[in-house]
Amino acid sequence: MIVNGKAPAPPDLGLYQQNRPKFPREELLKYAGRHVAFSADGTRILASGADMDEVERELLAAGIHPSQVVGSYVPDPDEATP
Amino acid sequence: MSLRFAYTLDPMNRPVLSLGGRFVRPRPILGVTLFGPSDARMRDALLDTGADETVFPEELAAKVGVDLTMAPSGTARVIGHSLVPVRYAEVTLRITDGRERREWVGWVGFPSARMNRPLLAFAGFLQFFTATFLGDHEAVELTVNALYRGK
Repeated sequence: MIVNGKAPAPPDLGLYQQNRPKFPREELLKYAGRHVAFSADGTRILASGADMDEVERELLAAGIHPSQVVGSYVPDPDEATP
Repeated sequence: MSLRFAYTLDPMNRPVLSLGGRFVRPRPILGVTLFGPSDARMRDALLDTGADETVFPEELAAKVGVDLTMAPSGTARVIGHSLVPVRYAEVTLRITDGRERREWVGWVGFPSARMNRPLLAFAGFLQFFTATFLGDHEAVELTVNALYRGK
């Protein structure tokens, strides 16, 4: 949430770097071709959308400031480029 | 000291023959925090030794308060290594592996072309590090070099 008109400071990503590479493949495949927001500890996907604008709208609707998550993209396995 | 990042495993729906039939493609992707004048965003970004410029999607600039209206512009080989127009701005970037944290001010490009993943290229990123790609461990180690001027 925005407090006193100021955006909250982004969290440290130390845990994210440990957990994100271990995120289950089967779970990721559900989001193939979509943009997602990971929790800052890399253990959960909190929102998804066709683009990051849609992801941020979903986050804000859930009361989560977009600076508190890690935006990512789950490539469609059939896409040519990563 | 160096920062070590395990590769991210992008899911595949068919076995990758060249990787012994694995159903994932390991890629050097790391979480980066980009600070602008009014806000910050964290993004997974791909280390790309073949790209010219460190680039983030143009829509991100507005989200962190970067005004690209009068920004210097140019072209760079980035997305799929094709030549695209980019506008530049100085921003603060931060990376951490949980043991070490690095934060510096650098020039990044904001291409108007659609891009799914930010790219961490030589200019703005790899120029400041010695990068060791550990294929057997599926990890990359980054050690700051003499050009690094950050914290």
